[in-house]
Amino acid sequence: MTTVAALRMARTRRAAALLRDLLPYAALVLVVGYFAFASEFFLNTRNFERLVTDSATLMLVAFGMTMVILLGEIDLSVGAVVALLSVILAQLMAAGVGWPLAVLLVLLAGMGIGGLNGVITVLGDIPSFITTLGMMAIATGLAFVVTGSVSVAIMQDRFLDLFYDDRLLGLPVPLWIVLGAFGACGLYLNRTVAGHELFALGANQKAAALSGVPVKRRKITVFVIMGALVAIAACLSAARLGSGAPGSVPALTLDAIAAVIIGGANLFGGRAFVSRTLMGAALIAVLNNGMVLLNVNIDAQYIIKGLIILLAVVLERLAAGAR
Amino acid sequence: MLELTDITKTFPGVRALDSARFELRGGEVHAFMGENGAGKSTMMKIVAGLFAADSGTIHLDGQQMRFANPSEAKAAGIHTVFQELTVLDNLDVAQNLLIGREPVRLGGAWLDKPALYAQAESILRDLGIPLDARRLAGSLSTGQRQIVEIARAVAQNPRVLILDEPTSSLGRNEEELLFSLVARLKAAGTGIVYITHRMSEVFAFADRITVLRDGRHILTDESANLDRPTLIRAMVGREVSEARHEGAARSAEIALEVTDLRRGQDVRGADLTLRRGEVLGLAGLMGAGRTELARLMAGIDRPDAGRMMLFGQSYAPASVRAAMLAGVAYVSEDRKGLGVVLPLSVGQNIALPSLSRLSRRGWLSPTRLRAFATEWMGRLGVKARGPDTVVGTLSGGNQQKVALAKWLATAPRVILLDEPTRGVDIGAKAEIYALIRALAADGTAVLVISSELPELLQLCDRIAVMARGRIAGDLPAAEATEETLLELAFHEPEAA
Amino acid sequence: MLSVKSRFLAGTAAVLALVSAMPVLAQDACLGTAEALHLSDAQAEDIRARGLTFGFLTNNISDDFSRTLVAGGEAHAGALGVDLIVNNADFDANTQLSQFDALVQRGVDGIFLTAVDAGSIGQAVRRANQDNIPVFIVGGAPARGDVVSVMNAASYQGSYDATAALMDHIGEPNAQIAILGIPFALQTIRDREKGVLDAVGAAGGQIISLQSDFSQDRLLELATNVIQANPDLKGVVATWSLAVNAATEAIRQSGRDIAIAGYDSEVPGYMELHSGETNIVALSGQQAALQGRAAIDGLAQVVLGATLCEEIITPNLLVTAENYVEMWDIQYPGVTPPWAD
Repeated sequence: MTTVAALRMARTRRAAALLRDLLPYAALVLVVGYFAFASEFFLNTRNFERLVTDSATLMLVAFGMTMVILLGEIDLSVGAVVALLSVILAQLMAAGVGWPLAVLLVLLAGMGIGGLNGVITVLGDIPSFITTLGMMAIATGLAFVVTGSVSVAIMQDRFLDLFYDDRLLGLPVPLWIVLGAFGACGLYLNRTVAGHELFALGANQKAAALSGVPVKRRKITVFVIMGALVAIAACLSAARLGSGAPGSVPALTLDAIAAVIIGGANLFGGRAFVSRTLMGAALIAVLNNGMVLLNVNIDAQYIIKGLIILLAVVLERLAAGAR
Repeated sequence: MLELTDITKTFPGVRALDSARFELRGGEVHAFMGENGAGKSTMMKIVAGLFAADSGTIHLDGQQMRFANPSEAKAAGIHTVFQELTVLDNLDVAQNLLIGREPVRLGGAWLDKPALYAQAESILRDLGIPLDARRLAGSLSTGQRQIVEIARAVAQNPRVLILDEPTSSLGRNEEELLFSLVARLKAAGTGIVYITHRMSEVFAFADRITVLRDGRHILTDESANLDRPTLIRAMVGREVSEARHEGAARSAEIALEVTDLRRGQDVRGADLTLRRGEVLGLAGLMGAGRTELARLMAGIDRPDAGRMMLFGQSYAPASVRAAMLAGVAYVSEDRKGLGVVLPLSVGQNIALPSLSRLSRRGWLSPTRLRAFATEWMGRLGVKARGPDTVVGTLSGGNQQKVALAKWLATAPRVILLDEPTRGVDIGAKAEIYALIRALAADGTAVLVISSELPELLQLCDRIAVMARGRIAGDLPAAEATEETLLELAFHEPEAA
Repeated sequence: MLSVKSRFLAGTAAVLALVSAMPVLAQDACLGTAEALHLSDAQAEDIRARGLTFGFLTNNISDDFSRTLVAGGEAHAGALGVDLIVNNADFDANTQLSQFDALVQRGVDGIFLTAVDAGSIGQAVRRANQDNIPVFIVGGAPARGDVVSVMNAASYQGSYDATAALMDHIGEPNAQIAILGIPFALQTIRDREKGVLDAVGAAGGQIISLQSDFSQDRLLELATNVIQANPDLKGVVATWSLAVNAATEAIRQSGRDIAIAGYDSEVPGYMELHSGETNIVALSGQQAALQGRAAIDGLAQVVLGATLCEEIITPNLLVTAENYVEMWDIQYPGVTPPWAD
């Protein structure tokens, strides 16, 4: 009797694991199929290029979030920091700083903010939920203070073209940036000592520490990488908007977390994949794009996104079972 | 008053209790003794309703009982104070004392705070406990929290009170307080089961003694009719028939030497010498400080005082990584919590401490990792489909082999094994013993911590015994017997 | 009720269109007022025959103004057989950009928007320009790209008129006036304040205090302090809706006879006027429904080949205790007044 029940449970768990792993791909195929059928405007090159350039910011942030969640941590500040960095970028350019230097400075600022998140979380032994919540408030406030609540137009066309309109080998530059970041994150996680250690660190921090993993250094590094990705995302966002807007991206943080969850990650750490996050982010991007094309109201988009997230979480719990 | 007959309980791979019995009279203190793993805790957990027995009966006041959960046992008047404290740090003393029985008003919806503190204060006064009812439990010492835990049980006028090693964390004053509480209950007709390793307490304190060994009942008698050697013999008692390891002549080179090592209450001046190519056993009772000592040697914790030398050089590891680089590896007793990372694959686990060594400037090659993991799986005979199998799905023995493989793969000069065969079946045990012997033959210095004396006698060249944070003595395995080892383990320094 | 009202409006529109369209065509000048945008019957028929699709983007739909604007636009689009795609950006500039791009993508015939951030929509407007899609915006011109026109409420004139009514009501020279505002660096806010200053100056009064905040609580505190500190205060001008509410409450609490003029007339303001005993002399109401209608008309005119002036100003309503019932029906056509039940 009990063995039958146990067998059945094991079977449920395996099925849930399979579904969880397939979810981001299957959902993406379904949604793309549906939109292609439902909207005549969906399935064409121009729309797909727009989809990619529109979602580049989300993709970059989601890659970073994957690593943060792999550690069992979270970063709630990304949306606010993107806004702050885009504002700084625009103001630097407005003050006459050339765009290459401005981008470099923003990159350093992003890494600094990420590093600060990491150092406070790790050395202060404070939950990252709290640290980054604080950072979110500070960044939001700073962005408004720095700009006096008005967005700052970017007038350096070279920058706008390069980070939004230009093409390289026939493909938009933001697509190349996303692909580059995807490759770099994938290599980091799968081909480096540090990346390998992150999996152990996220699943069981104590065991990892006992295995000689330099826990603090690894964790802070992840937050710094997150900061760098956020900075690049800020550049893309600013180029897309043509300005540094202090309140520009409230939905970004939650969408990034959602993308990671839809990718089958475990919020408690130890399980997260950049490739599946890419699918999750693509799913969200397609939903946003397709629903606008279908003229579905923004509220309905929230509900559908929410349902997919819940499904992903339930499958992950079922698959994790009683381990 | 309380009578347990023919109790049998089997856990996967272990028969914890085998037709064991126990009988408790009202108004007596009954000491319940046995080696680690003799089945004492299991027996008491059955009484407390935490486990269900496979077979056997429980009678309370002549009535047959069956406890499906702890609250049913409590309702019948059986209260237990376990070693793991259940005092809640975020509540104050009064709330802890009356948890689950808080005075309420307005039909149970509102907590009656004045009444709560009044009741708590009267309990504390009655029992003569000098604690402030409003003090936060988190600010109490371990001993004081133990007292709160005991007071909570005492305040409910139990029929039966089970105390599991109550004095292990108590200071002098608190011990006296405990004894006065027990005397008081005894006078009121409560039956008290007292689980302890301290001989002196047993004779000073218990009316009768029951000894359990390997899950079986060995003896029950008035404590006046017993003496120390008799008790120890009863606890060990088995025929020593297992094959002994022939302690070959070992190199005299000292691998690791610790002198007067101290940390907090756990390690209080330990001296130990571990030689190249030998297997040194470390015996001792629960709480003697064995694991804590190993953690100091492995760089997990930092000692308060004392000195360590590794192959003649001063050794003070600042981290596990530093110890690893110096060639010292520690395999934890808490396999699932600390030894392996369950959700990761066999390969990921085995390679974890060796990643840096396997990398080229920080870059790893997946093929190389797989080859490495496969090689070590083969060497240790890990039975898994491949290096991608998730460790959590393996048997205990195979998980342990993964934990061993992971550390052996770092090529340590000194390896510290904490309970290497816990939860491992007989077949896997033999394989692990063979591995340990082979390691030593290759010149590695091996320290084995184990609570199973036969295991140590069979496996080791030399056995050191730890008691209350110090090394009580060490002797060649060939000369040791379970009796001599236990005698050392029960060693109580005069001024303890 | 709705249909009666809209038929009435449509009738009026037709008359006005006939009057205004002819001289415009003759002069070949730009169309510069809401009235001037009205379509003739023939033009409306032409639009109906074309089966147009317009995009209508709002920065949010959580306030009265935006909801009324959308309702006005939808009603009129329906009457003209225009397919209207309404999207709300929920105050997210990125979302609005995506929505805007999607409209460009599907090749709509015109886009009207209240921008979340005029500075951040320029890139998208440029893309619309490339596809020859006319863009009609409320508030201010974007940083880049060309729009067919910018629609604005008569901020200066509206607040001037309300303040003038207040000064007239007080009727004494050197009257002390306080301003309660909002700390937004927007052109419309500056225009409102300038209207107040000019009207007070023209009546020979003096401004003794200018306070502003985003929250009604804080505004109430500020108003209370100003009233206490100035025993000779005769009037308060509140330049946005929450300030109107705060000023009303503060004066009620003080028990003094201080007159109020306000910019924005929303439900609480109307209820004040309806109560019969109020210190509010006049409120300047923005005609959101009219703007929604003008948005559709404006885009339709561009499709038909007309040129719009750089800025189109929609007049405000001057709402007082005498005319508030009629004004409600103009400002919120088809909506049951809050005092009806």
